[in-house]
Amino acid sequence: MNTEFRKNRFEIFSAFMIAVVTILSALTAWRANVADGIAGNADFEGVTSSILSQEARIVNGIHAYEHYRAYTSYYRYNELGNIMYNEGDNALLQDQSGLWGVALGLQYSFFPPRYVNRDGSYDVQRELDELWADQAQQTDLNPTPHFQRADGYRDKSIAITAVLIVFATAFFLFTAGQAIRNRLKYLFALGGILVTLAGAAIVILIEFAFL
Amino acid sequence: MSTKPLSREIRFEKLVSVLIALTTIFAATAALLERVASNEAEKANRLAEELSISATTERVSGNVIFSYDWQGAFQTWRELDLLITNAETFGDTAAAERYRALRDRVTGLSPLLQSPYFDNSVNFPDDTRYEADLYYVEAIRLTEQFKYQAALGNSWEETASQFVLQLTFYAVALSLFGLSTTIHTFIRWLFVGLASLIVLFNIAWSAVLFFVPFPELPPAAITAYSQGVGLAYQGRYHEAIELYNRALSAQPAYAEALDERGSAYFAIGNYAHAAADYEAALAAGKYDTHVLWNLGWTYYLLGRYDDAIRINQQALALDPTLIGVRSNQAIALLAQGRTTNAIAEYDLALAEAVRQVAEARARGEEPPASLWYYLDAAAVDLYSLLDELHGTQKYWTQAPPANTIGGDPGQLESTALGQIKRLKEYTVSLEFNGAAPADTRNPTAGAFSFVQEILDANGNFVEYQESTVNAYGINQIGILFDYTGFPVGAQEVWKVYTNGYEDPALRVVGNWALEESGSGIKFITYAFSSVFVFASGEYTVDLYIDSHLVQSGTFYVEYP
Repeated sequence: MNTEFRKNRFEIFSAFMIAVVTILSALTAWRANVADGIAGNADFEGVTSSILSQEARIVNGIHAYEHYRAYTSYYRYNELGNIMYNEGDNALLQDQSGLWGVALGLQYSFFPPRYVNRDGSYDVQRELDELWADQAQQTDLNPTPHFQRADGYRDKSIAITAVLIVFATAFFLFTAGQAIRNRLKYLFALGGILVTLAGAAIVILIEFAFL
Repeated sequence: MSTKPLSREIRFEKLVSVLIALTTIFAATAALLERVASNEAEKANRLAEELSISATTERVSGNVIFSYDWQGAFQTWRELDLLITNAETFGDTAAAERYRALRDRVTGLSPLLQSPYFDNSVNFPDDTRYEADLYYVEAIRLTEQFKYQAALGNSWEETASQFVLQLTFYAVALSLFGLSTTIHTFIRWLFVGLASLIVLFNIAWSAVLFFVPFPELPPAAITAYSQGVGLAYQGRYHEAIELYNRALSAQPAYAEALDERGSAYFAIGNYAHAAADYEAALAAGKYDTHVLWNLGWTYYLLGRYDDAIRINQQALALDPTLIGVRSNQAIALLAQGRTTNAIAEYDLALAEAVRQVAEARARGEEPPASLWYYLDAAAVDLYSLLDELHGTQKYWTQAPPANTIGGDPGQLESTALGQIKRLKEYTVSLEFNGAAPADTRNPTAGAFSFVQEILDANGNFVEYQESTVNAYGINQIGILFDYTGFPVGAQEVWKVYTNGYEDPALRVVGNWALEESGSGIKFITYAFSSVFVFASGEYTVDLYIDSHLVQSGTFYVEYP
């Protein structure tokens, strides 16, 4: 009777532990899925940011080179006016002032004169850099942090999923303990308890690491 | 008596419990591997998306910059250069010097106008080299990386889905183990055996998945390939082949590199190597109409007509709307001496052209510009075949060796000329009327006489002088001809082909304004400008009345 009772007590304990391991496994799977979901969202944010940054590059380039094209027309008229002026021929005065007039008109309406350097050249790169800096203040143009976050959560998801093997091992140890009649069953049960605790500790550590 | 069976029962249940627990470990391992594979797939796909966007940006941004360099900076330079020529023609040295000074200052606006891109000996920039350096090579490199990452992502997804399938099998095994405990006959061992087999099968399957190769494309192969494409873009085919060799030594099954090396070999006239590379590209997985089209044409040029016809059929099976391949098929049949089949194939090509134009116009759209090119090219290919047959090859002639051309030469020639006329008339009619040429009364014209005007000292006309072969420097030529049956108001189209291909700048379209019959003269001229003359080469002039090719003639401008 005493032996029977002890046997039943061991089986009840093992069944209880198997239930605990099952619940822990379910919780672990849930945490892995949550991490995976966060990684997916971070990926989406990163790709959105990447698209926005590339769009900014294209649109800024179009604007800057439109301005540079207008500057080229300006340069042509302005420099031809300069050449005529340097010739000092009064007969060319009307043509020369007309050329300068056209150049001035182009400068007023078709490109920002701010980017004309002191030597008369046009600083396209400065215009591109300023446009980029403006947009970076208003829009998220940097995908890297999002992708790093996504990769981190993916690693977390994999690590947590790996713990499922640990819990499955604990499940095996408890089940095997139930199947054995000699004292070895206590060793299996102890192993099951230790493995379960180790699995739970790993999950908690991973969770804390990502807080 | 009663305890023994019960004990066996309990032993069985405990055994099954242990098997279930073991299976759970394997299932958990499969779940982990599925997660790893899924994550790798997501990473590769994300990288592929990024690379695809970056490649597009590189291409678009590069085109924006090049558009400025070409049509902003170089166009300005060119305009000033032409103004210098004009000023010099009229002896205005002051204006010429002014423009020259300005033109030289403009060179500072773009690297395209500077060394190493600008060739001062011909006053023209090496635009393809500039484009290659500016964006082209990098865009190709990013595109190749994107394609590789997309393929890698697909492979990981495939692996992940196999692990998902394994998990399903594990679920089935667990159910079978569970069900076995509800049965008390020997059949329960069948359930246990089947479930165990499933588990063992899954374990073996997982082991096999570890050895399945993933697509491999080393960065060195991609870099060499993209540089090779950049060199081929500049027409530097021998150097490009060297780089493709380098890419292929890093990855021998690199289909894109095999295809591009084939095209480079084709460009330098090494058709045998080109065909071998195109075949290798197909075998490496690049089975598309582009490769098949090129391979079919290469086989035709090698005189391997059976192979050409077989490959063209494969291309047409993938896309039956390819007019270029259809006309390639027709000319291969013609060169083989199968005249009737060739005509039938040209019928199909023209019917397809009519269909494409009608469909586009019905939608209020235009057909692709390439349609006109392929119809023109089909006629040029027939001319080339005849030139090869007659031994009068030009430098642009692409035709199979004369000794491989089969059938009756007379019949081949009459068929080729008939199809050239049809192709040309369909091209004009479809382009200007949107339909096949109408079967109207045929207008006729006598042979063209190419003439120069002879003027006296006061610039008054004296006479026309026959001038089929002209010294370099002419800026005008007259075409004298007799004609009958040209309805007043009929559509009149003049096309001029320079060295085989039409120069649309010299095209004249109008309505016939002279009498129905008589003699006429048409001038093709640059005389309205003081800058241009005819470049050296062969000029073929076609006259179409209501889309009927009524006459064609050729004049030449000698090299300086």
